[in-house]
This record gives sequence, structure tokens and C-alpha cells, in this order.
Amino acid sequence: MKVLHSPHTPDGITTPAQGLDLSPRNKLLLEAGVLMGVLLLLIFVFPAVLSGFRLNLLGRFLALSIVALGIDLIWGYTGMLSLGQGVFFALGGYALGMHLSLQLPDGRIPEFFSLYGVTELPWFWRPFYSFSFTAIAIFLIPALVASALGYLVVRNRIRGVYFSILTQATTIIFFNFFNGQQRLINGTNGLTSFTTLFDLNINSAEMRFAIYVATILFVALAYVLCRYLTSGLFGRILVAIRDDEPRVRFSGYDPTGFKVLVFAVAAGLAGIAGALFTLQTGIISPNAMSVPFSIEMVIWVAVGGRSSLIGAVIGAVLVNFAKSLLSESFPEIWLFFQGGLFLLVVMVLPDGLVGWVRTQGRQLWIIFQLWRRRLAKTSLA
Amino acid sequence: MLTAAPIATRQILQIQDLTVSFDGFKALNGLNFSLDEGELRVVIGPNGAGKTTLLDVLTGKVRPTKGCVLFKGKDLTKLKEHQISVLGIGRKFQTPRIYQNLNPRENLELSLNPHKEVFPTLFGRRDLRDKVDALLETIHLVHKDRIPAGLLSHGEKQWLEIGMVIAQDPDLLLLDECVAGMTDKETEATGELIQSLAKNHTILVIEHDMVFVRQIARKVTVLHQGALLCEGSFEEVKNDPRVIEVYLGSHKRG
Ligand SMILES: Nc1ncnc2c1ncn2[C@@H]1O[C@H](COP(=O)(O)OP(=O)(O)O)[C@@H](O)[C@H]1O
Ligand SMILES: [Mg+2]
Repeated sequence: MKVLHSPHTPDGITTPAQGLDLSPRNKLLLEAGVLMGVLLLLIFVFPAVLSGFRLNLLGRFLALSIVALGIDLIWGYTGMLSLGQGVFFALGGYALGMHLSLQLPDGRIPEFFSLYGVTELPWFWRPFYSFSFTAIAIFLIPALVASALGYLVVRNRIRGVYFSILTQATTIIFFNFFNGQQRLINGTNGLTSFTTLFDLNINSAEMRFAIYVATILFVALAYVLCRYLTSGLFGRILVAIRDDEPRVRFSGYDPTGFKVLVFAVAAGLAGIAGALFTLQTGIISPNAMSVPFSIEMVIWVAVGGRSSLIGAVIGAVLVNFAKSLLSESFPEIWLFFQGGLFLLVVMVLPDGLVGWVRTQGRQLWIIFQLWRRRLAKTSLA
Repeated sequence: MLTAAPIATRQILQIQDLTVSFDGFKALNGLNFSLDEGELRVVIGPNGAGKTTLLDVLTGKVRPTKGCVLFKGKDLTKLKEHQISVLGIGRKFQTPRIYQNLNPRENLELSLNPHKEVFPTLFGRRDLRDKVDALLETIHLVHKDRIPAGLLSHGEKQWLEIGMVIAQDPDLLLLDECVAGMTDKETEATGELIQSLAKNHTILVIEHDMVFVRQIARKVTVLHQGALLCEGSFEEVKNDPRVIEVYLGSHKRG
């Protein structure tokens, strides 16, 4: 617990060693500028240079990076390692999936129901005809489930490994439950064959592009939200909870509310990610709640670097691209590769890619400064 | 309860018959203890006497097996740690417990924050800068205010944690062996700091270093095997045969 995470300050905090002496305000402006630049690049440049297939993959992976941001918030900053984010991801996916499945003429219900002799839409699916309801449900249902679960667990001071185990157990329960519910949600097969949204064909090129852009905007929103939560006093308290939770109590704070809030936010983000992912893959099934998938999500963040929010996004996109490239050519080695990647990160890059770049960058900067000083001296002589 | 002493020194803390047992072992055994408001008290005792356990009870970390603990008239044994903290008890731990990945400035802000619930913390506007600057001055960390606190020296960590306790503006400060690992100069400066804090706080200091105890002590309480051995001025206590016996018997430096 007393481990000093290397430069583990939240994004955007100046440390003198960094060399770049910008005021906090200017740093924020710089960051906003970079964010805008990346957005423009993603929206205008990438579609021009990537093939439709790769662009679609990029869109999916960006959707996944929203879950990763949530995991970074609760794990990287608050120390809650959840192995159950797949549950919240799937809840969001199912919410939107049902709305898409219900794009039918009046009185008709999705086909799979008839396989099991269901003739009337189960009552709890009815509100999902409405897009507004669905849009809210996508993040609110996961957030509420997480609040309830989080409150029970956190209030009883269950943390660390026990928290991880409990979230994993939750995943297994949800997975089995969803798999078993043929009559309500088509069991193992999940929801699929979506065709329209807002009366438009979701498989048309324009609609795909619109979905891609929407995904990018949601990533940006999620980033800004997490950035807001992790900076300032609130963010400091999250870090304090991560490093020494009992101590925080003696400083006068009850950690329960803080932890439940960020857990709910992370779940809401996972729900949004699940919905956007479902929209782009055309299917949501209980597989999204499988234990390995939730663990993969954690690996993305570990690889990218839980020392920073950017790391979470980069990790999600890179690992998934590596996965799709590798499994295109050698499907059987991906799992070994992933395991190896995780070991590598844990042993060699404990702060992930971004953490590594930061420390290296800082050292290079110092070397550069020394070199410049020496140069100035010799030119004076 | 004792009442109506003409010079009304109110008792801020009253402990009666306090017993804490860990699996049958009594770390505190029928302890009676009280503090007057504004008092500076030093508690000494050989290792294992129960000094830290006493602070654990006072901060809600340990629930007593038996006994009654009243602080400003409220029963502490029913409150949670953060409620006790908000009620006005601040504690400095025996081994410094600061937030290592936060810098001294952030450590202090966290303690200074007057509204410690979730939403006021998230949305509240506060300007703590001046207070933080003043505190940094007090604890001599102005020049190191922006490096991760984990990189401070042991003595500096001790100071930072003292600063964090002051930042909470508690009515009662509990300082557990706060000069351990400090240089002589740092120790002396700490003594001065405690003396000046004593002007408007009630302070309970737990100490091992006898030179330091002599520097700050007004009234000394000696704990032994979880109970009160004796109480009095530094000179009285130092010459008390029971105290000498206990300290020599345990082969421990006072
Ligand atoms: N949580 C605990 N569980 C079991 N025994 C404990 C616990 N805390 C303290 N003790 C025991 O209680 C006794 C008093 O400890 P402590 O209050 O730390 O002494 P001091 O601070 O005076 O050196 C010691 O013998 C210690 O081993
Ligand atoms: Mg002790």
C-alpha cells in the first residue's frame, strides 16, 4: 500500500522536473488544443486514408476506449480493480440492441420471440420503442446497477482483491442469467440483424460515417468527464483513496460516496461504449459478459498506462488493432500474444506505454537541457 | 461527574474504565483518563503499554470492549472515523501516513477542505491558497511544495502530517511519536511548534524521547500494561520509583 507509483500524478499537473513551465491555465488550453486536433484528424483525415473496413474497426475500438476510460477512473485513479465492466457494457448494448430490434411495423415483435412461443412483447421491453428512453437507459441502467452493487460492497469496506473477486462473481452470475433467458432476450444468440435507426438504414455508408463521428464525440465527452473528475480536489481524494483509504477517513472523508460515484460513472461509460459497439458490430450477446472479455478490458488500460486517461484510450485502440491484425493471419496465437503482452507490461512497463513515454520523455528533456547548456558554455568560451 | 469548580476548566475528554482486548489480550485494561480543554498532555510508557491503542479508540479505528469515551460530551464509541474527525479530533500517526503521490500542497488542501461530502467537494468553490501557503510556511516545506510527498525525507513527512492535522483545525490533536526519526534540530523545532499550537488547541502527545518530553511537558501521564501508572509533572514522574521500575524492567529507553 505504501508503494510510490512513479510519476502517477493525474494528467495535467505540473511537476517541476517536467521542464515545460506552463501555467495551469495554459496547460489546459494546450490540452484542449491537442484534443481538438485529434478530433479533427479522426473525423476528417482518417476516413480519407483508411479503408472502409479499417475505419469501421477504428470506430469499434474507439467505442471500446470509452469503457477503458471508465476503468482508468476506477482502477488507475481510485484503486478499484473491477473485473465486471463487461456486465455494464452488455447492459448498454442490450438496451440499444432491443431498441434496434423493435424498429418494426406496429404490432410485430422481433422474430426470435416466436421461436420460443412468445407472442407478446415482455412488458419491460415496451419502453424501448422510444429512442429517448433507450438513450437514457443506456447509461442509467448500468449506473444504477453499479450504484447498488457498489454501495453494498464499498459500505462493508470490501476492497482490493476481494472487490475484484466480487465483481468477477457478478459477471458470472449475469452471464449465466442472460444465457438462460431465451424467452426474454434470445439467450446465447443475443440480439442481432439490426437494420434501421431513426428510419435510416444503419448499413449505408453515410449512416456508418455518422455513427463513427458520433463515437468520436462520445469518446471526447467521456474523456472530458473523466478529466474533470480526476483533476481538482475530487481527483486528489480519489488518488488518496487508492493509496491509503483508511487514512482518508481520518482526514474526515467517508470514502463510500466517492467510490460509489466513480463506480457508477464508469458503469455508465461502459454502457455507452456497449451501445456504440453494438451499433457497429451489429450484435450483442451474453459473450460481452464473459469473464475473459472483462479481463481484456483491464489489459487495455494496463498496456496503455493507467497513469493517464490518454493511456486508456491508446491502450484500447492499439491492443485491439494488434488483436485484429494478428488474428487475421494467425488466429491461434492471439491468446498467447495477449498473455505475453500483459506479462511484459506488468514486468517491464508498470505504468504502461504512456507512463514509459513520460519518464523517457522527461529524461530526454533533461539530457537535452544539459546538452544545450554545455553548448552555450562552449560557444561563450 | 465533577462539577462546579469555580475556575471552570471544562474537560474536553473523559475516559472511564476503558478496556480493549484483542483475542483475550488486554491492550488497555480499565483505563481512566481525562483531558482539560486547552491542556497539553504527554503520555509516556514502555513499548506495548497501549498508547497507540488509546489513540485508535479515540479516532474510531478500534472499538472498545468495555468502557466509556466522551469527547465534548459525545460518545465516541458510536461514531465512525470520519465523523470523529469532523467532530474535531485530528491524529498524526506513529509512522507518517501522508498521501505519497500527492504533493505537500495537495495533501494540505485535502485536509483543509471544509466540506467533506462528495458533491460539495466536486462542485464547491473554495480558495484555500492563502491557508495552504501559511501552513507550508509553518511546516517549513515552502520550497518542496510541488514534489510528490513520497519523496520527502522522513522528518519532512512527519512535518507534513503534522501540517495536515493542523489543517483539519481540530479541537483535540493527537500526536503519536511525532519526532521519531527527526534530527535534533528538527525535534527542537517540532517542540516549538507544539508549544505554539498549545496556545489554542488541546493536545495529546505520545512520546518516547525524554529530552523532547522535558522540552514540552507540563503534565505527564504514564501508561503501563494498559492502565494508568501515575500522573504528574515531568520531575515527579521521572523520580517516581514505579516509573523507574517499569522503564528499567522493560529495558527500554524512556
Ligand atoms: N490490532 C491488534 N491486534 C492484536 N494485538 C494488538 C493490536 N494492536 C495492538 N496490539 C497489542 O496491544 C499492545 C499495545 O500496543 P500499542 O498500543 O501499539 O502499544 P504502544 O503504542 O504503547 O507501544 C501490544 O502488545 C500490541 O501487540
Ligand atoms: Mg505506539
